[in-house]
Amino acid sequence: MTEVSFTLYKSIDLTGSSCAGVIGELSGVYEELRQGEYVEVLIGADSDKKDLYAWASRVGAKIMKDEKVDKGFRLEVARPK
Amino acid sequence: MKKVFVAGGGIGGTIAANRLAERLKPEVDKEDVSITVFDKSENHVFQPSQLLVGMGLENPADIVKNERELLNPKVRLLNGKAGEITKIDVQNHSFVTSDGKSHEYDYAVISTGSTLDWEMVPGLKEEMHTVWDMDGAVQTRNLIRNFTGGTVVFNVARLPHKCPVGPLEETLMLEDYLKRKGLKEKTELVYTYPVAGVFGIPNVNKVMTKIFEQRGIRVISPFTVKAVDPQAKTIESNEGEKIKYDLLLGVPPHMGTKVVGDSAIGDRRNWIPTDKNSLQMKDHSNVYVMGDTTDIPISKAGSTADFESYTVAENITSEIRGNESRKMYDGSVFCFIATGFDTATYIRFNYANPPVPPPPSTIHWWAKLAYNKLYWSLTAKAVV
Repeated sequence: MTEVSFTLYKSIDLTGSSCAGVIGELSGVYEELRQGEYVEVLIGADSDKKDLYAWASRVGAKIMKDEKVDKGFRLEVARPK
Repeated sequence: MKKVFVAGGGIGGTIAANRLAERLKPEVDKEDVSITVFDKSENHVFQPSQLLVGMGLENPADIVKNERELLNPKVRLLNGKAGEITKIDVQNHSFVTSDGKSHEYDYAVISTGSTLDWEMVPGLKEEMHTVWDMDGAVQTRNLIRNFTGGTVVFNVARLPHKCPVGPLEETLMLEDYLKRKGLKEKTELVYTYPVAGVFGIPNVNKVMTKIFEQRGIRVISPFTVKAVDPQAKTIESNEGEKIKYDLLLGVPPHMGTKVVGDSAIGDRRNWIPTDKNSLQMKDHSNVYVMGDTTDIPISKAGSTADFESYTVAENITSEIRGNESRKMYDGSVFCFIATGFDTATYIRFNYANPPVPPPPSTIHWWAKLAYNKLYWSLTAKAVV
């Protein structure tokens, strides 16, 4: 369950092909986040999720939610306070 | 009369305006519809060819033309202060221009592009030479011509940026140049990229990484540049790497244009929230957004804007005519990728179908050059 104190900055659908790739697109949005905000991310593949977790660990992003949805996975990625 | 305004006379705005004029020809001829392009500049730069300027294969004058000559004669063009938009007011459906006038529209197409955000990284502007602007392309050409060996670092500062395959092209063309000039043995070429690998799409990354290995190009990634030290000639990353260079080339961070920020219609990087299929600005159905301007996770490239122009022109035409049919943008992108001075490959993909680049060949290289030449007479004029 999403922590009440975190606020949604934006939602991005990364289920399609993009030159920057899932991590390139997400890292761009993550830099826009202020502390206490999160981005809702839709991704399609298991491999993308694995990359996302590795990236989050590297940059210190917090994955608050990870659930299976029709198109793949929905994650909430936050910049910790 | 229905008024359609196009903000920006770059690749996206020009193609969209011309395609709208063609689709809506009966209405435009009867003066039931007017199409107006707003741009401060009279000139239209074919930015993809700035890479070739930087590599000494094109002259700057050959990739710039007068915007008026590219537009359908029925399209009105406002330049200078009359064309410089200071505010896009989507609530009141109007553009305000530098001459103080307010212009009301029925439909707006926002194609104001992207700008370089040099300030994001300390030291970057002093040291990095980039073909992502015209002056930088000329500087790059001169520096490469006078280069006698050393360490060249190519850095992509942040993603996303305009012309995503450009870093691959510039690095591989430079490697080919160094080899032809007998400087390869005296040079270390280092490619640094913010995510693991050399490119974001897995299939393309796999193919291009192999080419980089074969060509002896050192790859350091993920590498998110933190600062550049002009005195020490070092570039440092958030990941803890520090590299000494003799020549620093690359792509500075990108963001949307100032007018988007001043109009409070974008996100914190001035990209406008856009529906990825309809290309309508979110919550504003009479505003379409295209090219670099959108926040869609797709390539910021001229070909993207070209593909998007079909959706924008078709849907505005349908709305004006009261038709119910709507075209959806499927994420189509097509980019040639130069792999040297006489070889290239390409990628063609959409949201649902990732690309697989074919082996580099001279045929693709000549196709790239031909496409660039035909841009002026076919693509920009929305003939195809």
